[in-house]
Amino acid sequence: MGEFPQGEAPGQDGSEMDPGGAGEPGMEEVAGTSGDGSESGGTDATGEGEGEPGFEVGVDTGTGLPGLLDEPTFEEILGAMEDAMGEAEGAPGSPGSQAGTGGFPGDGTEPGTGPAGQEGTESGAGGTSQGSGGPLTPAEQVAILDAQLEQGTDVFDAIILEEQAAQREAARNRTPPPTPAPEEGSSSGGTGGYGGGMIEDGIADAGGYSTGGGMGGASAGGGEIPQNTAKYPPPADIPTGNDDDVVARQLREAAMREPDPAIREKLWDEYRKYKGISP
Amino acid sequence: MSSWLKVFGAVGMAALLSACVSQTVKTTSVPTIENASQQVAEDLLLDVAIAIFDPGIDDYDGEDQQIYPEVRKAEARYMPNLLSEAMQNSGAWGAVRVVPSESQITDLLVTGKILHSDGEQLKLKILAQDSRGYVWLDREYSDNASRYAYEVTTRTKHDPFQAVYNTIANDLLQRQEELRELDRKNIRLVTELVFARSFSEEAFEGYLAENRKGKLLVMRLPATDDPMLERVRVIRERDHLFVDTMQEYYGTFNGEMIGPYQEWRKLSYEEVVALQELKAESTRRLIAGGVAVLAGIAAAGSSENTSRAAGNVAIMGGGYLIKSGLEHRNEAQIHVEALEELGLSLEAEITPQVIELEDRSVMLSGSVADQYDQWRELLAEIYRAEIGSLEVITDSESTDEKL
Repeated sequence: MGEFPQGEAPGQDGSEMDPGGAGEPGMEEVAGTSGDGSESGGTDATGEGEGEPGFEVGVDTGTGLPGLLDEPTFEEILGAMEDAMGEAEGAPGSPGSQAGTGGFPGDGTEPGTGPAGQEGTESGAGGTSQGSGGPLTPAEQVAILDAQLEQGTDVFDAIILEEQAAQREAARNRTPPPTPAPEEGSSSGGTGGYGGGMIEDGIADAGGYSTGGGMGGASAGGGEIPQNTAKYPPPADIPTGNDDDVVARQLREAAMREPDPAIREKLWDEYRKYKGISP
Repeated sequence: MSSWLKVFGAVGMAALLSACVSQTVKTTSVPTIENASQQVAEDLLLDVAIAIFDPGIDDYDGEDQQIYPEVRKAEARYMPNLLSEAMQNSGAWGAVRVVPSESQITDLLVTGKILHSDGEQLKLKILAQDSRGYVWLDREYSDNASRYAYEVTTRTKHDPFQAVYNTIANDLLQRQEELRELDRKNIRLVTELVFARSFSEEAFEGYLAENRKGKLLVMRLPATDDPMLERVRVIRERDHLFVDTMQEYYGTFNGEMIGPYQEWRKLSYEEVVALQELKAESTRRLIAGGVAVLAGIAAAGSSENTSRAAGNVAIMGGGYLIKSGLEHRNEAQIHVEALEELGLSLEAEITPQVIELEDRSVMLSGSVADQYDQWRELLAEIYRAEIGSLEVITDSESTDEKL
């Protein structure tokens, strides 16, 4: 079980405590936040929530909605931790013993900066490896199971690719709907997808754990999203992306995020080529 | 003389009542989608899953409710896509995806229920909750379509109820703006740990705990190179791939549905407005007729000849108004039938697509769920094997100490 970095618990820093949150900031019932019935835009928004639980007092943003700041009290953290430890203690080899601990969220450290408790486990077990005819060591068992897991990912990728191929086939066979006029300023593009590198040329790399381009987020690179993500509307000859498959969608999204006009045009060319649209 | 004036006044009021006209919304203004006020690091952008909406047909009994279950089911799959587009256009979110069920583990889950939908009015109930359990939104949104919303030039730009989707997107963005970097980190982390726990409860037990309010707290963190977390991340990438594939289904479905659906809404709008006007007109005439008849009866008993004559006129006029009101009511019934016919026609047109989408979705989800079950078993075995190896080490260490 990793050490609980008490000094790093979220909300322990007095500067982060909500000034209006007496008692247990962050975990208090919302006082006087009964939603609102204010109209926004041309739309009636009828407030309903009689104080959504778990929000702080005093973080009224002027909208009548409660705050979302995550600032549990120290007592609550301790209480929750005791509960968690109480459950874990009964089990042999509690998970904490193998996971290692990093800092606590909110302390500014990235997850997993602490010591890695797992290190050495497999090598230690591997040291007791016996001959090929003997029983398998835990490390060998894990290696075999890992291989099975990897095979499972191959199967999964095959299922998905099969589906995507079927979709493309169906899309080709389908009579194309009349192309509506290009939308102005309200394109259907989006800000990034789930991992831009997941599929290359429509084929997922199923060979191991190196696939994927990270989870979510705009995949424009650089670590920060552009100021106006997905704000480059498609050219006039590009139809709405309602029938786009994954590859077409990623091409479209990349093109709509690309600030360089030359590269953007190339991306749209790729999109046209992929969709079979004659320029 | 005074009773004659009273009769005249009552008849005048009845005439005024019957002359009132109903109003339709004429503005086509749509609130613009707001952008994030500050740049956020890529790894802190929150992913959003919008579950297909609840079609709101639980209480449907098939009578006197202009609800067409298959149309509602189709709308429940169509509308989340519009909300997704509105949110994406703000540039403030990570991946915004429509998902087949509310069980999807993501940073922010948006669910909705269709309370009312026809060409004239849309009413939705929206609930948004982050992975920690904090409720961001729990509201009803409604809007009436403009009379110009179905003109070709307008409807190619945006949906007739685009104001609803833009308002929801703006409200969610406003809520997101309240978050600090710390909160975003926590949400991302909790999502990952919840996902990990859903695949290997034993291995990730103790990382999260619920406080008294049912909100999830991170109790400790796995190591950066925790092999179990690495395995779960590989699985999560597949989960994202599955969700992305589902987008194709919804995209294709929307492409097929949009033509007939827009046409239905356009015609439905006309019928609904005409129906409302006729009903209102019918009611006004019946009331006015009733008032005139009553005034006429009262005046007919007067001793003055002029009053009696006016009373007779009022009775006749009132009778005419009542008759006219009843005719309008019958005429309104024609629009009800027209609406019924339109709804059934659209149902017949889109039901095959809804069924096809449902079949494909269920089949793929089923295959994926099977695969997930296998992975869960494998992860459990891996965990046991790793724990076994730890026990071997612990045993040998304790033996060494004894020696």
